[in-house]
Amino acid sequence: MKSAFNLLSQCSGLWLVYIALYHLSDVVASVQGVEGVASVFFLPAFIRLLGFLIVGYWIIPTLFCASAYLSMAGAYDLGPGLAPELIIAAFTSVGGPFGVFIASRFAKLKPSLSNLTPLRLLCLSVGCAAGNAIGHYLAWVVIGDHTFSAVRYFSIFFGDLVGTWAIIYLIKTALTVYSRTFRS
Amino acid sequence: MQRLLNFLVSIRRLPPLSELSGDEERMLFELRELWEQRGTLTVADAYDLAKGTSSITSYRRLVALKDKGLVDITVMEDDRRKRKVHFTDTAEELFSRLVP
Repeated sequence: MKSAFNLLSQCSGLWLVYIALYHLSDVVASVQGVEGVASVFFLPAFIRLLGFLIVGYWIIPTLFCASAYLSMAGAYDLGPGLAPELIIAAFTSVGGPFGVFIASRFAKLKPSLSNLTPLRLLCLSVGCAAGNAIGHYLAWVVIGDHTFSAVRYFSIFFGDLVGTWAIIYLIKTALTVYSRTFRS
Repeated sequence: MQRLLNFLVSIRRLPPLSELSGDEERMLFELRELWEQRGTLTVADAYDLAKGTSSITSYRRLVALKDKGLVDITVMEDDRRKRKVHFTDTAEELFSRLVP
């Protein structure tokens, strides 16, 4: 019961941070700035990576709920109706975490993350961004758009990578300042 | 919780954005890991840590950690050729903040 409550609170926290980072990204660089669907600076991508490492596959429904909420709130809008947004939400909720899963197998990451080195973290972030770009592509195929736009998918990959590492270095800076404060 | 802490430790090891260079920071955490395995550390252990790096470079990094107040180097009583490496209170506090 306690572990279920812990999991629920972790997922709720990730859901909340995802939405907050989405709005922050929109302020910094429009989240639909590239071809109306992608961004070159997408901060919530970090939550896909962190979420899979912390709560495992539970991040998939968490991400779907967050994306669905953003679509219903009108923050992510592709036009009339909710169907395209929800299809994209479904595919991208799976794509990023699945990319992290593949990369973690490739990097021989332990479940406890005790061997998570900066190089492995880089590998995981690349896997997450690639998985999300593929998820986006599959979603557009399901929607009925079979055209392949290199600019769109490269922007998704690049935007996810930059957004993820912006947050990682923000955390690192906070840890450095924190430890410096108590040292002085 | 352990996963989150390991994740934060990994981020802490990233280069550089701090008083320590990336290599110094990496050495500090690798020395800590070695100390957790063995319970004791010598200067020779620091030499063995960095693969493909000369002993002089490793020693310089260790001295930099000493100058920045994170480790102490003392001569061993029983064998004066050997020198032990200890973490200072500052380093211990840093580790306890990251992994309580």
